[in-house]
Amino acid sequence: MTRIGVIGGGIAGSSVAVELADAGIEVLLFEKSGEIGGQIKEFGCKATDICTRCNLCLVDSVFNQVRRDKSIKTKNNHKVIDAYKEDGLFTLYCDTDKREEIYTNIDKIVLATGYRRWSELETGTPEIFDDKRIIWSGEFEEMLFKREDHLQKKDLDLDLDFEPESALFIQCNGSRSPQEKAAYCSRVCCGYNYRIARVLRESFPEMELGIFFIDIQEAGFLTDLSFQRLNDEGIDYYNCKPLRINKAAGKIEIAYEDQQEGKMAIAKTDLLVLSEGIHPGLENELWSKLFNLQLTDDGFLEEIVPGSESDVYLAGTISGPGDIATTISKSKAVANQIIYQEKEVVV
Amino acid sequence: MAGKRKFELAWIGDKEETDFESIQISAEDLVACQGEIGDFKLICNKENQPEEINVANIIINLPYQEEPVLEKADSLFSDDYDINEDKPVIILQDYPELSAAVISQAGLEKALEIKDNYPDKEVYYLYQAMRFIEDNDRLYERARESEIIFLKFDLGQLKIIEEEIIHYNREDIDLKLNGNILAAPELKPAKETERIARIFNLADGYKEYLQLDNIYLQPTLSGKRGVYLLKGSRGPTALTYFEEELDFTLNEVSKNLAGVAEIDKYDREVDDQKCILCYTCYRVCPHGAIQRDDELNSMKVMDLACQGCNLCLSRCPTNAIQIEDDYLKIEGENEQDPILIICENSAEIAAEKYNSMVGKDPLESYQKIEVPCVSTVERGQIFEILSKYSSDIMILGCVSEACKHLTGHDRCQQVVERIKEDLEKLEIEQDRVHYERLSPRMAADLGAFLADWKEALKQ
Repeated sequence: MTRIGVIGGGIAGSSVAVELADAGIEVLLFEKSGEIGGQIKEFGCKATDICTRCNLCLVDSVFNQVRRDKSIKTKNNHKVIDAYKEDGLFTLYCDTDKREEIYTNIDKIVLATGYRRWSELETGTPEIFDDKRIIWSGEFEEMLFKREDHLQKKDLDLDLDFEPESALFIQCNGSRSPQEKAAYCSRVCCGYNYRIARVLRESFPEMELGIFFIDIQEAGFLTDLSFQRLNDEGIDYYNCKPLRINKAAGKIEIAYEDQQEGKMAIAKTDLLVLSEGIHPGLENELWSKLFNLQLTDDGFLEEIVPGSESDVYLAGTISGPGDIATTISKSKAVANQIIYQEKEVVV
Repeated sequence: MAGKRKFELAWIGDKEETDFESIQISAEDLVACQGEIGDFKLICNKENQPEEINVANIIINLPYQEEPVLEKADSLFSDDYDINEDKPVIILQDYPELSAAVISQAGLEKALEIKDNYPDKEVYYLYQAMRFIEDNDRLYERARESEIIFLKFDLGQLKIIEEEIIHYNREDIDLKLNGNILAAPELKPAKETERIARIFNLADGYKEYLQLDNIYLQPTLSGKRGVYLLKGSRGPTALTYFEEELDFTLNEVSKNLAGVAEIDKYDREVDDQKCILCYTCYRVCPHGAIQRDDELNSMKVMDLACQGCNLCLSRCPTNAIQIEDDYLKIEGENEQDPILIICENSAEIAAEKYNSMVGKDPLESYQKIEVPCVSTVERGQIFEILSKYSSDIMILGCVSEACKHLTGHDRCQQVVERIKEDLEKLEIEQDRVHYERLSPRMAADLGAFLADWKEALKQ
C-alpha cells in the first residue's frame, strides 16, 4: 500500500492530504506545531453586505476532514529535520517534543511548509512597530477572526485602545523592495487590505479611509478591483509609495509625492495598517538540500526534475506567493497527479 | 450503440495538447448536451450532418473577443504592427479601464521586442497599474533598464485626441504624443457564450461569462460536474494563471477518468405518475443534474451529477421527487426549544469551531435540523413545524457568493419571504420564522448571536 508523507499541516498540506485520502491513499501528515491549520487558522471572514471572495469559507471543511479521516495520520509537534531515500523509499527523521521519531517506507513526499509573514522577519525600523497606532494586516485578521458584528448587526469591535476616525493602508511592505530581498510582488496584499478597508467602510461609514498602492493588482479572484471602484466606495487611493512615516503626536503623518499636483504632501491618519508580504519559509534551504530542489533567487523552491521522477512534490506558497483559492486548487492538482500515477501503476 | 467510440475528453473551442483521447468540437456545431460526468452525449450538427459524440469530460475553451479601444491603433496582441521611422512607439494599457494582468505581460514583452529590434527608437509605455504574473517582475526591471519610458497615468490624466494623439497631463508634465500606438484591446466574453450556457444548463455567469462568481467554482469548475471552463469562457482574469488553471483542469480530468463516485449517498427518484414535465427542477438545479427521461416520459435526477442540495425536491410543484432520507428530521430533547435549520457548509462548521475555541456547543438547547443546503427548506414543511411546535424557527444559510450550491441560499430566501407573506395573510405572527446568512468563519459571531437570541425569546 502506498504511503505519502505530507510535510506541513496548513491549507496546502491539508488539501493534498484530504484529496489523497479520498482516493484511498494512506497519508502521514507532519505538522511542526501542536495542531493543524497553519497561518490561515486565525484569518477572519471579510464579508460585508456581500461576500468579498476571500475564500476562507473553503478551508475549515478541509481541516475538519483531516481531523475525521482515519486514513490521514496526523503527526502534530513533528518537525522534520532530516530525510534520505533508499530503494525508492523515503525515511524521515522528526524532532518531537520528547524525542526523535523515525518514519520509514514512505513512497512520496509532498512539501507544503508555506511562507513567513514579513512581520516575522523582524527587519525594518523597530521603533515604528511599538506604536499602538500602527498595526499589521495580520493583527487585523485576528480581529476579524473574532468579529461579532455580522449576525448581531453591531459595529465591528476593533480591539484597539482608541477609536480611530481615519485609517490608512500601505501596500508593498516587504515586497517589491530589493532592500528587503523581495523584489517580487506578493500578489495577495492588494486583495486583503482592500477587503479590510471595505469591512471598515461598512461598519464606520464616516471613517476616512485611504490606501497607498504602487500598482494595484488583480488580487486573486477579486476581479473588479479598480481605482474607479475605490472612488465609488469612498476609499481614497494614493498611487505611489509613501516616502516617510512621521509619528507625530495625535495623528501619524505620511509624507508622499502628490503626483496630480506635483509636490510633496502629507496624509494624516489615526490608524496605520501595514500589509505583510509573503516571504520564503525558513525550511526552504533545508528542503533544497535534502530533496534536491532549486532555490530561486527569491528563496522559494522549484522542482529540478518533475515530481513523477523524484517522488517529491511541492504544494502551496513554498513555491511562491499565492492566494487561498490558488493554493487549494494547485494542491488538488498535485494530489490528483499522485492519484493518477497510483492508478496507472495498478492497471 | 454497441462499439461506439467514446472519447476521454472533448474540447469545445480551442484544443490544448494532452495525452487524453480527445476530440475538438467547434462551439457553432454544438447543439445539445445530455448525460452526466463520465458519459456525456454531445449532439453536433456540422454542415447539417447530425452526429452524437460520447465523451467522459468536457472543457469549454473559447477565446476572448478582443475589442479594439482605438480605431487608429494596432492591437498589442498583433505581430503585424507599423513602425514609423520618425515617430515613437507608444504601448497603451489600462485604457479606458484597467486591463487584465496578462496584458501587462504582453505589453512588456512587446516593448522589449521593439526595443531589441530598434534600439534607438523611443518607446513609451502608458499604464495605470503594472500587473505582476509569472516573470513580469523581471520583464519590468529589464524594460526599465533598456530605457523604455514608463508613464503612469491616473484617472483623468490621459486623453486621446482624434483617436491617435495621446495627451498625457500629470504634475509638471504636459505631453502630446503622436506615434504608432499599440493598444491593449478590451477582453470580452467569448462568442456563443449565451448559447453554450443554455446547452449545458449553466446558471447565468459573471459579467456575461460562463462561470458564476462563486468561491466553490474556483478556478475552472462549472456548476456541472465534468464540465470545465477556460479562457474567454471562464471569466475576465482567466489568463492570469492560465497554465495553472489548465494544469488543475487536466488533473481533474485524470482523476475523473480513474473513477467517479457519487457525491451524495441518497437517491432521488422521480415518480413518473406525478411528474408533469414542467421543467421546474431542470431550471432550478444548480448542477445541471436533471434530464428528461424519454422512455418514462418524466424528468430524472442523474446520480453522478447530483450534488445533493435538494433544490429540486423543495421546488417540485407536484412532490414527484422522492428521497429515502428524512432530511427535515428534528434533533433535540426538549420540544419547547427554538428550532434551528442549519446548513452543513456554514453554521455547522462555525458551531464546531466555536465549540473547539470556547468549549461550549452553541447549538445546545436548541432543536436542530441539519441540511446539505437550506434550499432543502419547503414551505409546506415549515408550516407543518409551525403548527406542531410553539417555538420560533431560525434558518441559517450561507452568504450568496459562498453558497456551495450556487443559487441555493438565494432561493431559500425567496421561500422564506413567501412563507412570511403567507403568515401575514393568515394573520399568524410573521416573526416566528427568521433567516440569516453567515460564513463558516463567523464562529464567535454565531455563538454570541445564538446565546442572545435565546435570551430574547425567553423575554
